[in-house]
Amino acid sequence: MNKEEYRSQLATLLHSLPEKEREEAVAFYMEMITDRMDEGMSEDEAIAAVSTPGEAAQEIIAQGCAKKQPLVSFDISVGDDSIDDGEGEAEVPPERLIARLKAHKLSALEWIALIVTSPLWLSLIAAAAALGLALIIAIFALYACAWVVVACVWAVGVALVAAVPAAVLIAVWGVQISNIPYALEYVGYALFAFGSGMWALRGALKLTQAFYGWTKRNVSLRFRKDAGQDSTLEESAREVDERAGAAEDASFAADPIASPHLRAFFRVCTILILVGIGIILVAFVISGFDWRIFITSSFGDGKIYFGGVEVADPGKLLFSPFAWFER
Amino acid sequence: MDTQLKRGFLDACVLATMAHDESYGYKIIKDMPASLGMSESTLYPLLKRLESKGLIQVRKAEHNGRLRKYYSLTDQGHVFLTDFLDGKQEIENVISFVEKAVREPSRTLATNCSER
Repeated sequence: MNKEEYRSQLATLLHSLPEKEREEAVAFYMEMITDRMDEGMSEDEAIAAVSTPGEAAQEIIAQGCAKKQPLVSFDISVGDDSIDDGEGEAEVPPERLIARLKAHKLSALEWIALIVTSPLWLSLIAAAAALGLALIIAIFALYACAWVVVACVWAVGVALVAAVPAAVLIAVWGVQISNIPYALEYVGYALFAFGSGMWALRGALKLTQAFYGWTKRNVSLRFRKDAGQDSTLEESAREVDERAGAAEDASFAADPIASPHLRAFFRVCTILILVGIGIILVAFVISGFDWRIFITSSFGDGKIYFGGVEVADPGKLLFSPFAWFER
Repeated sequence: MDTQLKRGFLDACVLATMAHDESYGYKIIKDMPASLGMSESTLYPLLKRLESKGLIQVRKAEHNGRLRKYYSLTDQGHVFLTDFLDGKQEIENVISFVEKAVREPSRTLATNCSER
């Protein structure tokens, strides 16, 4: 075995590791061989002196396993599996198992027994398969639900923040029609929407990070491409299984608003929510507890009312959408 | 030797090889006492563990036109070695206790037996 063969054997044995870890380990062993050769050993002697690729891989993977294994792991193989029979792999391909079972010939009596009882065992197998499938679907559905919840929180945050300019515009209209309680009420809405929207966005970000981190740590999705006969070229096209290094865990645990500026900003947001509610209450008080200030509508007489006050000329409002209709 | 105990001793030995100056993989293997039977397959995970514990730091530097990894002790690594040496008396006490207990016939046991 020469150095290149050693390298490719070790790399193949470590194919399940993330690329970075694998390269680091291979580089270590290459360095050990080269250092021995620099000292005057021949290539063969140097390779004989270091641990075999098998030993090396075993220790490296054993240590990796001591860390955390993903909860769920999907191995999706792309390519032709049937070609890679031959020089002793560790795992037995299913075709060979079946061949072995076939070699273990059944007697005629056993065949008859098998066929007669088939309604029983076929239905049992079908039931087990259906149950398994249902479980898998249920787990996927639950997981999808979690993401839908996260998406909803994002939507709420975006909608609240987007409502701020609209509320400000309506407040201006309130001033234009001299309905001050109504204008104040909308100033309150604007403050409340901004503050709560920011909090919702922050919550959405935290939830997303938490779920993403959980997924990354517990679900491994690996697409394997088998490059025909050359098993050494087998490569992992995509690895979501990053084995959650300590540094990564730390980054998930980190609060997205760890900086003091951001913390101050969110304190202001909380105050805005409270002030917003306060202003709405004040508006209600100065309107003389008139519930109509909360109503923006037409009362069916073709006229428009903002908080109980008729809008005499809707077309004259700032950026008026009504002007557009009147044209 | 018990694997847990051996691991602690191996850690200390590897750290000791870089007590004064940084070292590299092959040099560490050569510096280790032969009786401990240190091989690459043991050393690699061990170095990774020491690094993740923050006891050693790694730097890459050029040597003969290739990159070689050099390992050196962090402050924590120095503290680990000092603590290890401080434990010397403790280890000796344990060994001498076990030695005594095994070699000398126990008096209490002997008296208990004669009473029966």
